[in-house]
Amino acid sequence: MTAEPDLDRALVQHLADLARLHLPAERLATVLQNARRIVAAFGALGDLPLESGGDPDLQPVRLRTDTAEPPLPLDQVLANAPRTAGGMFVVPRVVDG
Amino acid sequence: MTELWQLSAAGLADQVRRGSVSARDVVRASLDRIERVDPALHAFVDHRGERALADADAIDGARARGEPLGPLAGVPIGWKDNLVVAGERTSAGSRMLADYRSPFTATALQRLQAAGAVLLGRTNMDEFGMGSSTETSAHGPTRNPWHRDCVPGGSSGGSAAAVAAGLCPLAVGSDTGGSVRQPAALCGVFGLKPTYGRVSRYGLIAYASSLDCVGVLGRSVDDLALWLAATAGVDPADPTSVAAAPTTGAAAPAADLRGVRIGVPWQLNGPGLDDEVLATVQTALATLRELGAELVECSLPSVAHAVPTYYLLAMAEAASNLARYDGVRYGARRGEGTSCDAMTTASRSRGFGDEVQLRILLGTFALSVGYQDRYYGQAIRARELLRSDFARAFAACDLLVSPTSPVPAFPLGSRIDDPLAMYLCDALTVPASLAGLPALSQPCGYTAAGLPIGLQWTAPAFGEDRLLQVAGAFAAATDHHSRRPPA
Amino acid sequence: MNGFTTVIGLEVHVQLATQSKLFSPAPSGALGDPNTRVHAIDLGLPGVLPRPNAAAVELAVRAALALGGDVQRVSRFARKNYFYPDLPKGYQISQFESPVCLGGAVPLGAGRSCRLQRIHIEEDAGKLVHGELGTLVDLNRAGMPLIEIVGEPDLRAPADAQAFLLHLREILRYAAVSDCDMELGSMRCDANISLMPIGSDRYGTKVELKNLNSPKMVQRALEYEERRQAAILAAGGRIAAETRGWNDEAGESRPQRSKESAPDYRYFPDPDLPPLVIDDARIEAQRARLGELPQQRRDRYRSAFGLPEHDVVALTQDRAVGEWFEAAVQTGVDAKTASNWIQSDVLPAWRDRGGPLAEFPVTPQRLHELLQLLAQGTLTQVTARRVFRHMVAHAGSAATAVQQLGLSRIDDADTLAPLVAGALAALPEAAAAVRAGKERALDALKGHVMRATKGRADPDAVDRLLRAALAAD
Repeated sequence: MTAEPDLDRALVQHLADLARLHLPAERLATVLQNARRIVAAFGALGDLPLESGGDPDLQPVRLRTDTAEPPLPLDQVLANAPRTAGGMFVVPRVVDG
Repeated sequence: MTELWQLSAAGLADQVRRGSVSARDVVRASLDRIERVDPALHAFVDHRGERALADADAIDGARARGEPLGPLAGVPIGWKDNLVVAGERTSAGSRMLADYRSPFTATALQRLQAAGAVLLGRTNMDEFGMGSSTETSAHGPTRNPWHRDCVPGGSSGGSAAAVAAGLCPLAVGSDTGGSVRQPAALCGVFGLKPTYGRVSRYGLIAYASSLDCVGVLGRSVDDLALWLAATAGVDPADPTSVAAAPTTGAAAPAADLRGVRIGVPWQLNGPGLDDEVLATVQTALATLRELGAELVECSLPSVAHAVPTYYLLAMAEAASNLARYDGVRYGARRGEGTSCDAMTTASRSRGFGDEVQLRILLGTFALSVGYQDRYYGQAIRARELLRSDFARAFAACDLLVSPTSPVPAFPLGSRIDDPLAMYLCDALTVPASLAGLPALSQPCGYTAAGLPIGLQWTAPAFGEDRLLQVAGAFAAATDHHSRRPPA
Repeated sequence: MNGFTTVIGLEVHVQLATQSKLFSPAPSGALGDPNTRVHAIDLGLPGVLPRPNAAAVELAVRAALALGGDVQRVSRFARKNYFYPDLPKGYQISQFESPVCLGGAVPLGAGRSCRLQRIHIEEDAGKLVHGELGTLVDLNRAGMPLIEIVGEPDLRAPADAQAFLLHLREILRYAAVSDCDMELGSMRCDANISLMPIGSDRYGTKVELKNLNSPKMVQRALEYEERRQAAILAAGGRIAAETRGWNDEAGESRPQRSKESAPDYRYFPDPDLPPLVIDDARIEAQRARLGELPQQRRDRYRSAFGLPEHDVVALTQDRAVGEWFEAAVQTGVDAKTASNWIQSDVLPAWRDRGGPLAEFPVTPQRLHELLQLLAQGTLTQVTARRVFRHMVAHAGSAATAVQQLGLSRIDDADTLAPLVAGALAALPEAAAAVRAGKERALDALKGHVMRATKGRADPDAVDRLLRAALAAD
């Protein structure tokens, strides 16, 4: 059994940031425990000496003929939107960082 | 006297076409049955009520005008809540999509409507298909009709319970790692997962794109065949859908199984199985032998790694597929009045349940820099090995057989806090998913407590007709499938 | 730069000239009102799947061939995962490990060129508008088909970067891959620049420049950045790895975000899209559509037509102009004459008019007819130009225009004699001057007759008649 990565609080927090999830302190402990058990159980796979075989079984992707079709009517584009203005989706201010 | 709700889809469509019963009466019977039985089960999230009756009237009208009716004329069909229908709600079992309405209809459902089927209502499921018990649904759990303290399996648990309880003769499900077959086994009905790409995924809310298949649950092999004939075929809207020879539809079941070579992979027929499941499947194998089949011991060595392989791939794809739920264009929004980033984080943290969040985190981990090769990369390679294992096995036999689930239906709440224990429920179904192969589950017996046990068949790609024939032969020789849960 | 070698690499996004988007059948091209050119696929709605566009793949292949790249028989679409409100799916479909083209080069002129690392296909994102209410999202641009052309860091001066873009634009327009309009955003450029001490073989710290909206602006921004970095290094400072936005009005760049921690995009093959397989037939079909590239055409014009360099350049900047020129020569017009007319008359009139040159009302055949009337003496240089303008405005043959304008040459003495007499009467001083031996004063008298005939008088006939009249007095 190889050492599993240090799936610690900091890494889980980093993954949560990447995935745009907020883990309150009380959830973090459970998530950490479950994630560690699962990754430990899956770890043996990482140790197998496997060679990459490419994509032998996959058929080529089917391509579409380039023809434009009418777009979705604007009211349907916006139908499920939480907030709109002037035919656009409105989100809280984007802060570049 | 047999009531309408007890009839098969084939039987109902036949009567509607002949005019011995109206489509309205058939749909009415299903709606009545839902009113009476479903409060205790919660198989349906909701139903279309008057709109379904109006659709039935349209079919009756077409008949009155002498127009030809489709092979599923008037058959009420439940559909899993992760297939979109234009103008109707679709939630994928998630708070995130509580009020979502799609502007278009899934190809598979459109094709069923074209064959005359009436869309009855959407069935309950684990959130985004992530679960094996239907307990992670934001709408609350579904109960097993055979034992209401037990789960129906999942993630298509609502569809399985609905069919088992006679709420509708057929219900559409989706199967990513066993989500049609496992609940079919736990609810004592038939469940078919077609070859990957055989039925269009357009309009199926994605869990894991390289594994997701639209499938079906029903009470007879003929009904599954009717469903497959109506839905299969290439779809320009799904780049992974495949053009294959059309299925023969209602394939005549073989009278016996002489000359059929059935492989029994030892890795799927012993290790980790519940005693009653093992014993029941052994009895089924004996029946197959009596029917003339040749049973061949075989091996799928890579099955040993199938569960981690499956979960790593599914979680990685899910982490990416579920990134679109950001609170911008649709879906539940939280954190208005903050920054856009904070809004997205708040919306996702509130909109997704615990299991979905756990899988997104682990999927993000499997893809992230520094870990991708060891986790996602290894899973991709292990999947190729498993595909070659199957190819080797099918060189020596026509089909493979095993139990569908290592355990019968388990009590509600017994595994929900232990994700790893839940994942192991899929140990026997994920191999066919990883290899993209068609597989079918059928009832093959019951535990002492009266819980159903399922037998799983796996065929080479596009071997659905073979699956249906062999399952039909076994069903004709036994009566496990005709037992009904207590009223 | 003093004591330093400048190292520049460009990454250029080009929007492909398709009818529909890369993965949806929504129309591509012009944008229009917000969110009016959006398909369910572009919105990333639950249940949608991408539908890859054959024409986008073909144009990418054509671009690869035009730039001498190695088209990959098998490539893959990959997901680049990040959250941003202009990115509907939470990932961009691009190509990562396995792009559609490897290698290739862009000529820089004077026999030099810049190598390309790769060309890949990807979808565009939407547009954000920052307003009072918050940020507004318009997804018209989301899903537009792009190729990204990634250059090697072979450029050694800001002027090379401009040359790279001008040549790239010319080639891609020739190949009809894109209209490559930097102002309208159908061609976008990011530049990486670093300085290293002369003689060193280790690249310095890279700075990425964004917001460069014309080839000239790219050069200006790089010149500024080159000076800025040289000053920091000369003072013993350290260059920060960062992205800087160019402000052309202020003539300076400002830091946009620090790149010290590279984002983790978690690229992986898109499980919705099987491998992109491009067979030889598809490649050869694009090679056949490619036609002659600007460099080859210039060589040919020099040798086949013996045109001066200025004419060669003028005729080859646009593929259509060269085609028009060659069609004119084909009808029998002398190459240099055709070139002169194209530069002085056809191009200005076409630019005023707009639209494709193929729809320009004066066809090469009609120019040929016009020039024949000139050669036959029916028209003068002056009236021929008037006829040309009439043909542009009314789209008829030269003969019809001459008729409509009443413009044939007047050379008979009976008509001209009274006009010559009139000129002598109107300009007695000029007449006296000619008689006194001032030959140049004759021009004023000729001009009078030409004006009286609106340029239709035959200059030789007028000359003859004037001299005769003056001698007779």
